[in-house]
Amino acid sequence: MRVAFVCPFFGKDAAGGAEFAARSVALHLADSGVEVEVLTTCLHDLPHGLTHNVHSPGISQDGPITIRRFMAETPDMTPFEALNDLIIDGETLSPREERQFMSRNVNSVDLLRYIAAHEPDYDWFCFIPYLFGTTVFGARVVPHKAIMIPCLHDEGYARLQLVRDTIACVHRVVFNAEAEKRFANEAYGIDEERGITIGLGVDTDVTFDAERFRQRFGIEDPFILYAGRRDTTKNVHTLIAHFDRYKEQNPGPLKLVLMGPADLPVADPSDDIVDLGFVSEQEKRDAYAAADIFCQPSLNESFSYVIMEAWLSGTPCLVHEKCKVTRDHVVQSGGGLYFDDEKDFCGVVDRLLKDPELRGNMATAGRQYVLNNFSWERIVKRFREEVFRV
Amino acid sequence: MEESNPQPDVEAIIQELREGMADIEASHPSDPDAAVRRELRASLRKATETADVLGRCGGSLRGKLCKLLAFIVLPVVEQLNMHHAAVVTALTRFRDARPQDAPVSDETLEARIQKLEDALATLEERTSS
Repeated sequence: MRVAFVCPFFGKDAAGGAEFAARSVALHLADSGVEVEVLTTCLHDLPHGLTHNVHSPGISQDGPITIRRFMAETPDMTPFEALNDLIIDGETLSPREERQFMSRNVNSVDLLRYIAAHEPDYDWFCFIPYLFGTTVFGARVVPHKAIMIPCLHDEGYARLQLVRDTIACVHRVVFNAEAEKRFANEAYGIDEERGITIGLGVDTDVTFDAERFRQRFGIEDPFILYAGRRDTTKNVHTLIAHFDRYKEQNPGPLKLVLMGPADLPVADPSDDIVDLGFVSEQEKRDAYAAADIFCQPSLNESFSYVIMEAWLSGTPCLVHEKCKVTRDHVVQSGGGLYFDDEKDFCGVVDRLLKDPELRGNMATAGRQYVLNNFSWERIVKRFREEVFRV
Repeated sequence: MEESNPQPDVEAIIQELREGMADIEASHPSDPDAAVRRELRASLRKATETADVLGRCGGSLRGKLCKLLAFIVLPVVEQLNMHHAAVVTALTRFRDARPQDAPVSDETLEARIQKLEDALATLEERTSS
């Protein structure tokens, strides 16, 4: 079986969640024996710009994956920003404006011609993510062989008619989470036959050492852990506020340990907040194991690797009720609790801290959920059997 | 393969793409400052929502406001493109003086707020002209 992943950007150093997901899935499918190629542009990634061809066109290898790069178009971008602003603001664009926008949002005529000419050479074309020209125009070239992995969010781009038309024409749609599928069903009416929730794969063969973390960073007290970008986009300021309130009501040794990039979104964190900044992958895994509770306060996650990693390291998770994806994870797994406001937060933290057996049971349930659903072996098997129908 | 389908006309799709790329006429009025205004509105909304957090920073009400703006509004403004170089420069100076470890005096806060007000006035002048 031969499968092509079609994406606007590709590479080990390409920034972005969809880019990371595309490469991870492609590599693991290739390792399982699927002949995988990537059809992409010469652009590097979104932060490097939509018209700056960095890579050379042609064929290269990324481990077992063959990459075919095509020159991206470099149109006059004059209307792009204004139209982009309108979409973000939730305005409805005319069909002409949508075409103006999408024809500037990463396209390659050479790539489209390659797909058309070599359609018989591939069994499936996987288009990821939904909002770029490579997907919107590319999927229309081979709709009967098109599988879309949209990585959808509830945002203005998802309401473009061109996006609706593309999702309507593809053979199958693969979602990263049930909440994403529910949104798609509400927005586009995708039937059960065409829409499948697979999720992303997680490396389950991990090692960790809680004591090593405590010695390395000199933390002996119990603590709640957050790992990820430490800024307002991840709702970290709310976690800090709730934690401060909990400490006001429950004085004691409990700490909040934060790790990850960006600047802390508060001016004067209390002494009970330990800010470790950027740490290594192994230190992060050791920290998960040492923590009493892992908290993911973000409101807008499409999968949340850190929750899976915390469960694998034996720690229960606390998530925000308003993030449908992470709430689904803890409800389905039994691996944690969710909170909505300060009172909720204080209540669930207190409950978890006072009951080590409950924490242990939740961590076990979470770990089993990851192993059952998101091991790479499982993800690859589901892609082969349910998506590619081998 | 599960089924056989006629392949769409790729040249027609490419023609549609090329027409879109060639169409540079703005059908909405050009508004280069719309992004700035939108980001500022969003930032201020976010600032209001997080006032509860920053209210714990101590100091006067204006001091709290100062910190709030320094940590939420300024990073957003700085992420915008360089059409607003004067504003960005002023706000950068403002941010450079942001509180670090020690509490700051009311005089320092006054100076920072004045710089912010100057910057916002500059922005207002640009967007209304």
